[in-house]
Amino acid sequence: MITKELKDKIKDKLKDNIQRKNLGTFSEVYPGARAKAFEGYDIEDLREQIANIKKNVVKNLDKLADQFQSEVEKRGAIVYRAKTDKDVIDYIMKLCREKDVKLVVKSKSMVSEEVELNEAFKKEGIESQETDLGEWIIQIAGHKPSHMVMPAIHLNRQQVADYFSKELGKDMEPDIPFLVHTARVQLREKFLKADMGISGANIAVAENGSLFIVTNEGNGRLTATMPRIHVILVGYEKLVEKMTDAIPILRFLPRNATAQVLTSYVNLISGPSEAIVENPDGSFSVQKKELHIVLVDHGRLEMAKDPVFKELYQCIRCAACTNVCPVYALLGGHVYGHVYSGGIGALLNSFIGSKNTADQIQELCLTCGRCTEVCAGKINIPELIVEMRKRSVKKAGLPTLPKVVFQNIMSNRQLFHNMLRMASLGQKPFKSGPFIRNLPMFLSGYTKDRSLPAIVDVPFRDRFKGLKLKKETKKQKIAFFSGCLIDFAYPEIGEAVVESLNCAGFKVNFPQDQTCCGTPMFLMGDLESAKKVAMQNLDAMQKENPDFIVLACPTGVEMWERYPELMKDNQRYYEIAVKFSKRIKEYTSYINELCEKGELKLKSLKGKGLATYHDSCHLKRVLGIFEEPRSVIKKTGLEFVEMRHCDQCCGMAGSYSVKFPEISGELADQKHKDIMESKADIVLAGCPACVLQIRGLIDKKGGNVKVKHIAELIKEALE
Amino acid sequence: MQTVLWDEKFSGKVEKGSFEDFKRRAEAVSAEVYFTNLNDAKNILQEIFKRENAKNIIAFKSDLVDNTGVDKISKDMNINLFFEGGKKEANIADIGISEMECALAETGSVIEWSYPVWKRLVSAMPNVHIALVRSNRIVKDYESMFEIFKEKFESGHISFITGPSRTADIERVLTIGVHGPSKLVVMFVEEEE
Repeated sequence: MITKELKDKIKDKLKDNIQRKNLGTFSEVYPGARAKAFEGYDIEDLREQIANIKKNVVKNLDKLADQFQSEVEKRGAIVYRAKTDKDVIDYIMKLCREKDVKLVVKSKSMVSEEVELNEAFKKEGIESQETDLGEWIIQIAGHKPSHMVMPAIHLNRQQVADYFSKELGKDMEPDIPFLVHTARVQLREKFLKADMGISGANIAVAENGSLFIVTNEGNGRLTATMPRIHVILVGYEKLVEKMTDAIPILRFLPRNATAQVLTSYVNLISGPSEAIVENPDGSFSVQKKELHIVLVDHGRLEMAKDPVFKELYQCIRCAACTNVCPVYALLGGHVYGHVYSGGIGALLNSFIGSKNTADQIQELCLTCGRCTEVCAGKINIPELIVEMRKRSVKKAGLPTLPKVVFQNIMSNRQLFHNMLRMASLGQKPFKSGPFIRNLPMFLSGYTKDRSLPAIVDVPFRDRFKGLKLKKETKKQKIAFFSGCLIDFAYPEIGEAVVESLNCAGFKVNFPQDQTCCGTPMFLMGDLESAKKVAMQNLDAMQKENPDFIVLACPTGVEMWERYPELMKDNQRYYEIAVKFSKRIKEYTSYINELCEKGELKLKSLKGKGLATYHDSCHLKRVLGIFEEPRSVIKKTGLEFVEMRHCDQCCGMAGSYSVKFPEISGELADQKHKDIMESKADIVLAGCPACVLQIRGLIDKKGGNVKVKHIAELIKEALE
Repeated sequence: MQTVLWDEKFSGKVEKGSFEDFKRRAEAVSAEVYFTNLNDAKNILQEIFKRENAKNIIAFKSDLVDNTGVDKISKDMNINLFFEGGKKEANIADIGISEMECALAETGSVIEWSYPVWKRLVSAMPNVHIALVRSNRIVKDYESMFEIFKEKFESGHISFITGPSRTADIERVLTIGVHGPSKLVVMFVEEEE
């Protein structure tokens, strides 16, 4: 359940104009800069290499950790394996007491954030100084990092100047080079005096006990060089087997994180080097440094044993996933509870650190899939989020309302459809043409930023019988699986699908026993209800035994492709599911194929306006279909223009717009702006839910734009 | 002691990278790059010392550093030159000069092996770091670089240095020169016949 606390935080963050400006600018610039940094490299090949390297690590984790430890010890450094956050802190505090450490300089370490090391130093009465500029800023401000790589991205120069003024007791101009220089001068003093340096590491090599530390500011080198003691905190997930395993990571990490070919400094540390040890009288001697490596568990070993979530070991902490996350761009990192933010943060936090917030912050994920596209280790973040939802349902049960709806209503087709028909009557007072524009009281948030479609008086399933279809010329039969939205809100899309396929010579039928595809239950983690509706749909199709099942809804296609896995415990249904999953055709790509084969001829719509296309998240990133719809639009002869951010989520995201109407509303605003700026007269999409969202927001926010499903366009172009 | 490593690796076996590739990459991240002979190197150093208004210079001794005559230039210009010292000398230095093991063309980095702490102080502390590299020591890519590590790196500290120190932690505005040098000068020096 989403708590009021989280809702309030979301509202706060949406009003934080400074953070939104910083994040907005960054998310605009990042994709292009990243692409440029990768020029000349095969991104997919590198991702594959990194994923495989890390899969190998998690498989052999114990062995590699042992090897790493013995190689480090062979070179004269000390390894300590910390199981908990308390272990890390106890070890370091004990070391400080034994070695009379009074001042610690720290370079960036997310593990130290995890275990709240600075708080522990404070309690112990030891001065600990963050030296990464961003980390220092948030240390003074008393904030948590809001981004893994750019911890202070939520602040602007004026705020930084104010924090510096307070810390240093003098007025600071909000001039960035001046503030940076101030940090150099202030922190230089600390580097000169520090007794201990603490840093993180990006890669730990088992075969020779080496550690790679990737930094830009040079504080990492000074932290490793200046004090007599160096402590490196490193999580188990940073292990790799061989030195050469570091190559794809070094090629990928800086490019993906900050669009740099390489950071200013990469430090490769293997065993202790020399250090300067100063005596009280001012003299000094050069001695071997004392090097401690703390290998940190803190939930990571449990993660490695999990058959599904061990995939999280493929994360190299580049934060590219948050750089492209549309929700992160609006809210920043602080709503995610613990130290790791974004979708990956929701997952990591559920193993590492405080688990209590993970359950609700995973709800913030749109499952739009942008993160997975850029992930260095090819982690399927949205799928892991859904898996986590499933588990939390298994453990705690569904909230009451969805439970009643899924288990008592939606699993029973007749009841569900009767209720939808009744709802069509009940909505009358709020209806205005095809839209519901204002809902009363607590429901008003749903219609604040976009109108909702009215449930039609006559659903598609009733209209189908009245369609005048031509005699088929082909032997193959098609069954149309409409999904609820086309059936009960947009029957005209269903008619267009059926008529266009019929025009290509097919006999098209609509099996009347079909029902909800199961996506809402599946995404909420209610597998039992999802199975029930899947069985009804499989039965409905089995009766007809069509050659193809066509869907004009990408999430429906995805769900049908999941049926075999869903039915794996039921031999009979499993076989049916496998058979039909091979016969699924997604409408926009299939209609394009029919046109290209010459089986469907379109007349020209040239001169009928300027069209643009919105990529549905699931159509583009899950099904990989984005060229075909564009190709078929161009075949109609319409003039075409790309809108900016064409593949950014429209804010619909299934029930997301109901759970987080404010976030959804912001995304809708952006989409509306991009559509208006494109100057197009027609917006096309291949997904009825996107059509719903975009039609609703055009209705609410204005614009002389028609919003159509590709099928409706094709229908107009039928001869 | 041997100050610059991996001589034997550069006698032929290693896959060499091009100066042009290195220069393009390094200049893209604001490094100042020269390809020169010993004679001209002296003039360039002199110019830099003058331009930076250097009072104190720290350097890590090697044959190449000696051959550039840095000792004499400093004396002529009345600059203090330290070939050894501690944190104090490092902290007051305006310029650090040291010879790097090699350069990496793929990334525009210079590669420093630095078990000795003084060598790290020379490249990390002053506002300007002048990195000298023998001209035949440009390695093509990570693969060739890691081949050398595999044979020659047992323990210690290696740094890949790519342009000056930088940050974008305030509003994502790129700012040069935080904790490390704000200028990195890379000079490839052709060896005498």
